[in-house]
Amino acid sequence: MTEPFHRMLVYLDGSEASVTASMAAIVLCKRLEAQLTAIYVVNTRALQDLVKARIFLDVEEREYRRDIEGDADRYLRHVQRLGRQKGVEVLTVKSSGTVHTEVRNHIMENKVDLLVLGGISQIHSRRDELLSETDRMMRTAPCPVLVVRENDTIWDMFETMPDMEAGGQ
Amino acid sequence: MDGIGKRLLPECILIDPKEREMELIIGKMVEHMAMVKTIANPALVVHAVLKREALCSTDVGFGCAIPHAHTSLLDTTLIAAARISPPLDISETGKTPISLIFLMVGPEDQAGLHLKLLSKLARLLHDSEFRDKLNSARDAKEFHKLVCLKEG
Repeated sequence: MTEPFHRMLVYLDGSEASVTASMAAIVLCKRLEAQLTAIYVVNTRALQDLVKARIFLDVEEREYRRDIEGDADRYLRHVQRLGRQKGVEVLTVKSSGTVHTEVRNHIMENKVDLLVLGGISQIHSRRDELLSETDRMMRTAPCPVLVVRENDTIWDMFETMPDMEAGGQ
Repeated sequence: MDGIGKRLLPECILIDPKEREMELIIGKMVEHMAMVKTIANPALVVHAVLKREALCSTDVGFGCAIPHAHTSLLDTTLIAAARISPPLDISETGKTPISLIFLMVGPEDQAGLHLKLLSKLARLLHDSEFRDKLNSARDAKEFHKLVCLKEG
């Protein structure tokens, strides 16, 4: 029997939930011998919206963009390290634009067969649904989606999986 | 989820403070933040916010202002709120007087979180029914509950 998933994509946004989702994706990829990519999208649409709403000045938009790009590099390196610790090579992609569009494009261009996401927010209205990036990703992804809820089970699964790095813990 | 309700403590919500100037209200909000969280130098935090406001007001319309600043003086992102009644008529001509102020301050290395929180705040405050409810809140506890409920 062939494994059900070969190319997984985990979406990282710097939240604890997205890091937990990455740990779950690493465990799954290890078990299924699948390839894992972590993607971080610098949400330039949100930055531009804040400029339009006069909450940000142009100079702040540039500063925040630079800082968020730094965050992206840091979180992607962190997930790469977590993967290395468990013997899973994690490819990384840093992109910018509208989050759900960038993720959708990556899925289609790279034939991703499972998207792994962290927590989904509570939806009170159609408007909330349209404005939550994670929800939009879940609803528009052209592949199956795994939503990882934050709980200790994921940490336990990750921690109990043997480390691969020499001298690693 | 790490959202507005978690960062905005009821102790940092001012309902109809006696101050009638933006600078003084922001000072009072930071003072309340410093009562519940360790802020090494609250005066410098106020200075950072006012310096940013001096460049361009964060009056976003609909009677709301979202002053903000990131500074190395803080190690965590904090939110305070003020409901002003009667509203402050200090904004540009044609804009609604300000009745709701949400102040967000945080360290420089949490840009992603700030972006999310500011976007979410702007989105929540766009809802006129929600603004009406905040403007009618009896006390800080009710104001906080309304924010948490709306945020989900």
